[in-house]
Amino acid sequence: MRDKLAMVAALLATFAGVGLLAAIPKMHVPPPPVTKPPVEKTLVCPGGLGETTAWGGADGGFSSAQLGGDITQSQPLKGSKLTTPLVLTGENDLVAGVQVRKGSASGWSDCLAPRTSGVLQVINPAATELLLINPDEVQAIADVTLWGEKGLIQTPGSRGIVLAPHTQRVVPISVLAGVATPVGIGVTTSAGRVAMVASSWTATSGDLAEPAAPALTQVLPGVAEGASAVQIVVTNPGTQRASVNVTAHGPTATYSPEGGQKLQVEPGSTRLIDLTSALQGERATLLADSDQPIVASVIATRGADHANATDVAPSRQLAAVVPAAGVLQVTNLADVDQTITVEAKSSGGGSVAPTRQDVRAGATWQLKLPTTDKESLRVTVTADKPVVAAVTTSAATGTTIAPLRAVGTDDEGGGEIRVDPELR
Amino acid sequence: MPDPDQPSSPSRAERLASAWAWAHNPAAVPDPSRIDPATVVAVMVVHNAEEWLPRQLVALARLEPRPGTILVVDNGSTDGSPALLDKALAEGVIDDLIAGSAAQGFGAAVAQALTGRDVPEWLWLLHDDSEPKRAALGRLLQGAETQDADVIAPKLLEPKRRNYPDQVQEIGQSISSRGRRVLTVEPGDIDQAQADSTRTLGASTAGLLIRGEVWSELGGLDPALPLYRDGVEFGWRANLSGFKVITWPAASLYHRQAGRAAWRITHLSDDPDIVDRVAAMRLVAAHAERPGPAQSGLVLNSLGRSLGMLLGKSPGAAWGELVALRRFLGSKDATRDLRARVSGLPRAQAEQVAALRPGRFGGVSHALDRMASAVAERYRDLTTDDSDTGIDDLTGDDFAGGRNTRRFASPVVVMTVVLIVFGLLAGRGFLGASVSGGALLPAPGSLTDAWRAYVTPDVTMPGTNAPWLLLAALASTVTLGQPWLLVVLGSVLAPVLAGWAMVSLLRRLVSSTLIWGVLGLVWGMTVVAMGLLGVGSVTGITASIALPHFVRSVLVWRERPQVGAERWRAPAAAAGWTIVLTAVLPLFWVLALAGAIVWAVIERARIAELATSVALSGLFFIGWVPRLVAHPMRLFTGIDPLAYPDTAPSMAGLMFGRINPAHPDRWVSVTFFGVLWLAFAVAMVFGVLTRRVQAILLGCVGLGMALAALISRLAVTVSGGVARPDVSVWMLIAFGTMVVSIALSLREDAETGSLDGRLNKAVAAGLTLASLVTMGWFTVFGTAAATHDRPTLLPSYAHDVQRTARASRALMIEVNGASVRWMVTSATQPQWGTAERNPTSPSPGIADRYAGLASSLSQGSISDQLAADLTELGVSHVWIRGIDADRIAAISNVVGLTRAAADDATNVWTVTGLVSRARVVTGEGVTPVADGLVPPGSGERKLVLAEAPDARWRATLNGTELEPAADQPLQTFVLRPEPGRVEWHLQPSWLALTWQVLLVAVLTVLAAPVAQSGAQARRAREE
Repeated sequence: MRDKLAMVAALLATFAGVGLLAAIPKMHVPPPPVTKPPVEKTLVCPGGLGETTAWGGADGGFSSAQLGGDITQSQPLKGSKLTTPLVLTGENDLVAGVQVRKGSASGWSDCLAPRTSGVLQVINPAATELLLINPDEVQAIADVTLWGEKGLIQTPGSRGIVLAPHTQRVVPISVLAGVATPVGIGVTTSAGRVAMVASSWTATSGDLAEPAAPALTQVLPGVAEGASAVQIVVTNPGTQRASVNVTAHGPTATYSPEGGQKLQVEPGSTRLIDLTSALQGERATLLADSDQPIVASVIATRGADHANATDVAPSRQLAAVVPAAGVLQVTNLADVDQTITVEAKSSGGGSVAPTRQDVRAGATWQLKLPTTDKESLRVTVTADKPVVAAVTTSAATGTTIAPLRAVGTDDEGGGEIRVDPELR
Repeated sequence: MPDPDQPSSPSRAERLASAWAWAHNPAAVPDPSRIDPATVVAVMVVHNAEEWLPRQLVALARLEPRPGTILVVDNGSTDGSPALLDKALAEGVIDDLIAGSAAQGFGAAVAQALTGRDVPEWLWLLHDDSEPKRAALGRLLQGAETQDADVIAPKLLEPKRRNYPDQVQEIGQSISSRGRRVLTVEPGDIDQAQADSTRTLGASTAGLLIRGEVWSELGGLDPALPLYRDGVEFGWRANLSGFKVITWPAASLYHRQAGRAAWRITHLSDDPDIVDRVAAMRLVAAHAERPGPAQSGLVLNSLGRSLGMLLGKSPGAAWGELVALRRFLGSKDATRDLRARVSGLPRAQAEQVAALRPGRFGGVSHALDRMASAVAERYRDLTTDDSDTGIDDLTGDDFAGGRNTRRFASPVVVMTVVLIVFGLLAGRGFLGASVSGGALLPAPGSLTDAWRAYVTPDVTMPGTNAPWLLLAALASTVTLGQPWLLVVLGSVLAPVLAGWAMVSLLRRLVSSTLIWGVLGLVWGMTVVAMGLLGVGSVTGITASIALPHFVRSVLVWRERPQVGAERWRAPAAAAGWTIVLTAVLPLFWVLALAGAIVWAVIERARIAELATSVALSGLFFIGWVPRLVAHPMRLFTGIDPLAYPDTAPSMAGLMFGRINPAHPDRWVSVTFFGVLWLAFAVAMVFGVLTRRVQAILLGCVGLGMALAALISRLAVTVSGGVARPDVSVWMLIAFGTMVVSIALSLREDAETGSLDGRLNKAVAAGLTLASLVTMGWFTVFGTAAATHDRPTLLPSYAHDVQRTARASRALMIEVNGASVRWMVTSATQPQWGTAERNPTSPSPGIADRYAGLASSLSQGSISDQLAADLTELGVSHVWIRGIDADRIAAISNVVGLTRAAADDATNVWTVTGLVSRARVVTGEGVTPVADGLVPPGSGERKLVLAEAPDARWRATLNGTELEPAADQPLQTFVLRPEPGRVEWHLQPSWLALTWQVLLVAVLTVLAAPVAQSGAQARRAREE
């Protein structure tokens, strides 16, 4: 009996020993880092939309060419006048945008990556032109679709728009949709790809609308402090009704603005929602969450002019090149407080000491940027967790929102990349 | 109640007795022949036969009928034979005693005995060791009369053994064209009066009855063959002369073969095997129609036999064969004389005589017969309860029986059938030419590719490729030269092969076929339940088969100390299995070394054997050592480590065999391994094993599980990547020990009864039921979880290009949300061995470039240099699945790429310009070598391969080697201006292969049974 008990004990000890060994954490050795080739980025800066100036640059340098022209190594863009589109090629840290002024109104658009589809939103289609630019070596064919308040707008002649290599076409939305209500402009290519921007101007205000891709969440930065009116435009390009909830990341916390909940957007339609009273002139970044893929943009009015911003991708490393003094807004989209670092460097060589600031989870912090004179200012924001940021300007010459774009390589592609011998 | 007046029906015992009466009444006197026995003169030749002569004389005295005269020639005996013969003469057992000479042969002695006498009507030749049965002469005369025969050969039996049936030694004999003695019966067959009388070429002279006229006409036995083969030669001449030579099995003698067994050394026979071989060669050469070719054939055959003996670890016998050849060639006069005598004979009967000799393929037929016999014997072993622990067995008696129970359906046969049927049903996913997935990479396309996968080293990597590739190539050669067939057969038959391996081990330990069958089934299902088949773990499958064999060879080694060459057999077998196991898990050799050291400390007499075994197995891998030194963590991993799934099992996972993604449902694992653990616990707690055995078994289980647990935590860096070790071998050691423990426990119960019988049965029933449940689950859901028939995803037009002289590659990328999988494929990648290093390329630099391209393409961030980069790397096609339209457009926008949609989610871009693995680069441009031909050129030009530089690269232009160019990022050769065919290859590891083949040959020779000379074999039978 004693022997039997001893054997039972030995068996149990074996189990326990193996259990203890199996409890040792699994060793994880990261795979060897992949030396990625430089991410090559092509941006198209629209030109000839009025008094158009280009701003941009990259730490690693970049090259530029007039549409269809020869490529040359380029210096940082600091207010270069553009009468024709400019094609920039550089690495991932290349950021650039154009500012267009007409009278007392201004508009801002990033220089655009050519793409095969996108949705642009304008609130004044009767004064809007859609500019399509084909920077590639191959022909592009684009189709344009308009979604108004009451659904799809029939637009004869808006399909099969051919763009030869290195050419641009202006599509008069005012002709296609002579309405005074917001529309979403869908552009898809059946061949090639195009850069696209919508330009809307009235006597007192103007905007450049950039494209965005339909998604369940749209992040809209740049609602500046003191905005007299804040609206969002939501386009539902799908076939099912979308229910949209808007969240505001204000100066101190995240909240749901009154009138921004359970907004119903019919399929194939565009709707304008006014959030002015709910935001009460506070700075904010808005999030539009939907149960169906939507596109949204924010329209923020200061003075007579208004500015717009479309969806941006949160990132841990953001940058923008802006022309002059403005206010930087950074929104911490993480669940935890974090410290962000802001750097501002002038194209003239001057720079401001890095600013480190704790930003509460879900809050939007702002920083007044230094004034530059005839120089561009490259603003960089880095953080441990993804943030969004934008530079807002408001002056006698107009109001703009210039979002900061992701420039970190680790944000590109995002996920795991691994060799798989089963793929054959 | 039976009526006493009526004849009662015979009882079963009586019927049996009647049926076997012939066996129990061997001395029954035959019906009298009309040939008067008195007309028979028997001549017996005696030489130094003191040991067996008394039995011979007694047999002569008991003859019924007796011959008319018995003459004895004493050929100069120096022992007690003359005294025995004098006594026999005095007692009238023999009629005359003639003094012969030790220098004369059998034929000469018979001639001497007949000198001065009338030619007898019948002559009966007797050896001094050929004990005739009582009725032998009467039956021979009966045969002579009824068959009207001239020469009658009796049945010769092995010496009589008490309580054992008679065994047939010979009933007539013939001779092959190479001198091999050809018998009409298998020596050792039980005598059941199964043979009928037939015509024969000749026979031993022992007991040969010859018509006197024939003896006289043919001149007796030929003096050229003084001792052996003389009876065959005489019969051959008699046949040629038209006399009738027959066998007459009804007459029999016990023949000791004292001369051929070398029980006595005579003046004429220093070595009976040599004398016999010389006689055989002389006989064949003299009777051959074309002496020249016959003699050449005999010489070649003799050299071959000698080599065979040498390989059979019998250098003495090999030397003896050479001595026989020398004597044969040095005694051409004797051969010539014999030939002269033969040539004078009529040839009318030549055709009939030829029919009495074996045909051209008689040797092959004989070998096949022996092989079939060996298979039948092995089958009998598997299907019969045959205790190997009886006293007879321990004393080495060949005729030992022990308990012997033959079942209608042996459990081992049932196990075999069940596992084979299960393998076919559950392994249905393996039936295809492109089985891969999990840890199993695709098989090479051909046998040549399989061998090339081993002998062609990986670029930039030191040493040879992993030696398991050599074993795989060898195995592929066996499977009709089809590597894919090896995969299919290996997968489907893995359970039954593992089951057989366990049965083979258990046969050394226990004697019950029921235990063999049940635990063989359990072991076969262990392989399946651990998911080794489903995940394609060649390491685990191989270990499940090799481990039991390894343990068995160690047990044989330990249990049966041998002497002479025989002592190397078990160490060599253990070394062979060590090689197999080390090939799939290099750490095993380290363990074997440690075990050998411990054993050597315990038993110093084994040091030489242990050192030889470990050294031979280690030397097999000597060419691989540089790579192991460069990547030492490879010791811990199984084969193709970078293809093995990244899994680290929990404690429950280890306990229940859930160590990889191909495990069955949880309840199946718990059922099967739970019952196994329970049976093991019962065996350990209630079994009657000694404490020492218990400690060893429990230690092995604990060690196996502990190593599995520890090693499963590791993530090791091997060549070009990070791998998770395959712990299946350690798990198999633990589970295998449990199976053995259960077997030992059950055996103890069967023989001592100290374990409760119901518990015993419950254990067996539980294990069987758990195996059947597991089997049912896998039969329904299949074993091919990760591994199954997977054709390439590449469109055929892209796949075909890879197999042309361009030998291009394809970059394949699959994007699934944030996850990106990618691979570089070619005609030989992926395949066996390509996950021994970075699966995309053995060169870190090139692999890094591929990774960068894959990353960029998956993100759609494209460089204008993309097409140029792909061309430089020999990538002709880019296959991408799962990217959005923007990225598709971005890639399509690159100059030099042409897109084609493969399906809704997949696009294939072809790099324009006939991308090839080799390019000709000149100052004016780059030309791909599309068809293996280069055009004429002028000025400086180079042949650039899409490969990393390596000193082992070789390239030729029209067969002439090209000079490599130094300091180039890719392997480059200076190309001469003339046009022609270029070929390039990496220098194969022929030296390593030769070394390994030699080692395998040495191991095979050592492990093979020791070849014995005829005399040794006969002595062994007698002893």
